[in-house]
Amino acid sequence: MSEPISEPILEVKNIHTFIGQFHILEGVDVTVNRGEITVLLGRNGAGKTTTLRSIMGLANVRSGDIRFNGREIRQMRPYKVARLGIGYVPEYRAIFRDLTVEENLKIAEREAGDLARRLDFIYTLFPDLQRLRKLGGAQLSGGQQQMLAVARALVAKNELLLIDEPSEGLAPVIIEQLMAAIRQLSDHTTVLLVEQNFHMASHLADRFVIIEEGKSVLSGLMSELAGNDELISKYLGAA
Amino acid sequence: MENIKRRPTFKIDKNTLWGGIAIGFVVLLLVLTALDANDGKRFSQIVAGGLYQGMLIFMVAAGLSIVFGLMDVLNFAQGSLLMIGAYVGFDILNGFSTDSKTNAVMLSVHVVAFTPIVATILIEFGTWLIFRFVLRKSETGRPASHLLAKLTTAALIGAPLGLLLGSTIANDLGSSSDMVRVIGAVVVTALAWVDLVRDPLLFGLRRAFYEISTRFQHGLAIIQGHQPPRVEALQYKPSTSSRSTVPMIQLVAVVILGAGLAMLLNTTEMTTLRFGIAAVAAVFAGTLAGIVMETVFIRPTYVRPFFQIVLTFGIALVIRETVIYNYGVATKGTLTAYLPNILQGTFPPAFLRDVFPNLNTSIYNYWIFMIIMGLLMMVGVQILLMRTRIGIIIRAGVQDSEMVESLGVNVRLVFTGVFALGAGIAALGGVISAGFISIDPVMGDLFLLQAIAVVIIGGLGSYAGTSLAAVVVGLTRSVAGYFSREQFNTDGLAPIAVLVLLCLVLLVKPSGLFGKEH
Repeated sequence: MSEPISEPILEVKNIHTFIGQFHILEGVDVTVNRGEITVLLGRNGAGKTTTLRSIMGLANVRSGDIRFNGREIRQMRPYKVARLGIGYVPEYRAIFRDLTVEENLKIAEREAGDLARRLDFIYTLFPDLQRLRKLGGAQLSGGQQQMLAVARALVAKNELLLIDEPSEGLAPVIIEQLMAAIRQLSDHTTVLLVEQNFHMASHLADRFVIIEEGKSVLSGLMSELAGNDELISKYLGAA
Repeated sequence: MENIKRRPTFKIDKNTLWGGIAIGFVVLLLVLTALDANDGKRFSQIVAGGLYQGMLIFMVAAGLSIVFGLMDVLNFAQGSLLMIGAYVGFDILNGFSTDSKTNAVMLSVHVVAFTPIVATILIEFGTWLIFRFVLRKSETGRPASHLLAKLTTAALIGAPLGLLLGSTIANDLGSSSDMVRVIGAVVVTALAWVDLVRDPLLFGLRRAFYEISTRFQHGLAIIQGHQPPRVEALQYKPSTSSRSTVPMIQLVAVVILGAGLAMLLNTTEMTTLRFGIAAVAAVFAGTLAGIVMETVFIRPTYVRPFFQIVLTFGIALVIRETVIYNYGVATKGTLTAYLPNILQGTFPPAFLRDVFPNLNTSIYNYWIFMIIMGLLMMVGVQILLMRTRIGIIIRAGVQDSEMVESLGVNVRLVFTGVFALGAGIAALGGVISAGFISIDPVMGDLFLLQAIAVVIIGGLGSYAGTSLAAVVVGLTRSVAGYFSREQFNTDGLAPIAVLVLLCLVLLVKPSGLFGKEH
């Protein structure tokens, strides 16, 4: 048996997504292989977040295919998608501000005891959270909120994590910490990342997909893109 | 790493401040009243009267507040749910107390509709209690543990009812509604048996569909020259839901319980139990109405908020007209005649008055009962919100229901559940108020207006605010009523005072006591 290097866990094929009457995604293809980190690159408003929302079932995908572990998940309701094993860490650190850190984690339990099983792992990844567990979400700093948002996606048994712009608005030190954590958790989980910070993306990701004006225009190995300044400036502006 | 060192601050939390102001206001009102009334008896009546009014308003406002916070729906039909509770309670107690032939039909409906539900709920609840407090968590999945838990609860519930059954049958044999009881018992038994065979039945259906579809695919693949898909045999697994694991025990308990309840219908004794049954039935009817309202009417309009207002308002009108059509416009009076003795009379009872001659109060026991029920609901919902997983989900959903759904929670189901909970509390408020306030088709509207005032005063979407505001509004009404009677010889100022209070709050803090500024 040859080693299964590129077994896809998620296949998004030619999806067309609408928000209201606006045609936001006009054909996006994304393939995410098991065990890898794939990053969606592109300028602001290109449709990266909408791609993640389409996968989660939070956006109106009119046509195309989304397969998770070979199973069609387009048109499934979000909670069913999540229960198949997809964790979502949205933009702007959407933690629950009125809940404590512990409650924020508790709510992500899908079966009783999930949290107890994973708590050690979460606290080794983000030691801060243990110290802050009784605090309310609103009292955390931006970096701590982001860590909590990632940690929350780790509570249930998720095979795939969708992480949207984790570095946005964070100090460089915190970004380094987050990167280390994401690299560590990617040993257990597959990750699909949206990231504007090219430095972070290039250090973390195995593969990339560039989205421009609602279409996926280029994809490949991150190592190939990282050295190619011409491509970087063409699609992403300044590197 | 950033440390969280906190400098000691003397800033008062905003909620504490406004809560303090509200409590200060109430204290001021009461002090003024006490000075003016100068009569302990009078004063105690004003306070207790205000509290019971506050609690009744709270029971409508609770659902209104949580539902608004979670789903952004302002349900104008919440008052109608209270009215449904009152009429169902009235209807059932009324049906109990006569044994004419027409009422026999009604009786059979009650027996058939409510006993299996009550029995199932009781046994499931008992089983849950045992799992929650007696057995360890790891044992939840074991059929043997289920057997034990059900056996225990069935015995605890079934035994007293069996006794009841025996003693009543002896006294009551030969009365006109014997037939009804037999029918009730038979139907209850049949329902329990349906429960028993449900799993195999569903399995059979699923298997039939599975066979047909796989064979079809198989054939299609062969025709097209593909490799036919592998056919796996379906395996029978009884559903893990606790209901089907030990049906026989449940069956026995249900039959005993059903027969016991049926016996009860014709007696004039046991007012407590009968009132309890009427309350359970009223809550059940209200909850059911709430579920129907949410799933059928409100769910399609979540994306069109304006429609909701018109729609719920329309539902309220329809319910009112239906009630008028069925029962007429006349008031039905109160349920006082059906109340247990302990709830009639006043506090303190004679023997206490002998012991404490200085205890100069005279409060209807029923007021105290209403206050206690309201407090129970208040605290119960608070515990539900703060201590349980469902509470965490609700509080999180208030902020961002989409994110909650993305974590694998069926938010639509939670919405329905929360709506049903609010409806149930309102219906309970209805049947309780019916013990004191006369039942009529507009009672819901009166409560609704005040409940809306309470929700706004407390701060939209804040449960704690609603609880506090309900007490404040109740006492304000009562005090205003007192002064208005003293000065102008009329009760008219009470509702006006609530509106004045509402205006004041809106002027000073438009978001309400505990509301978030936008």
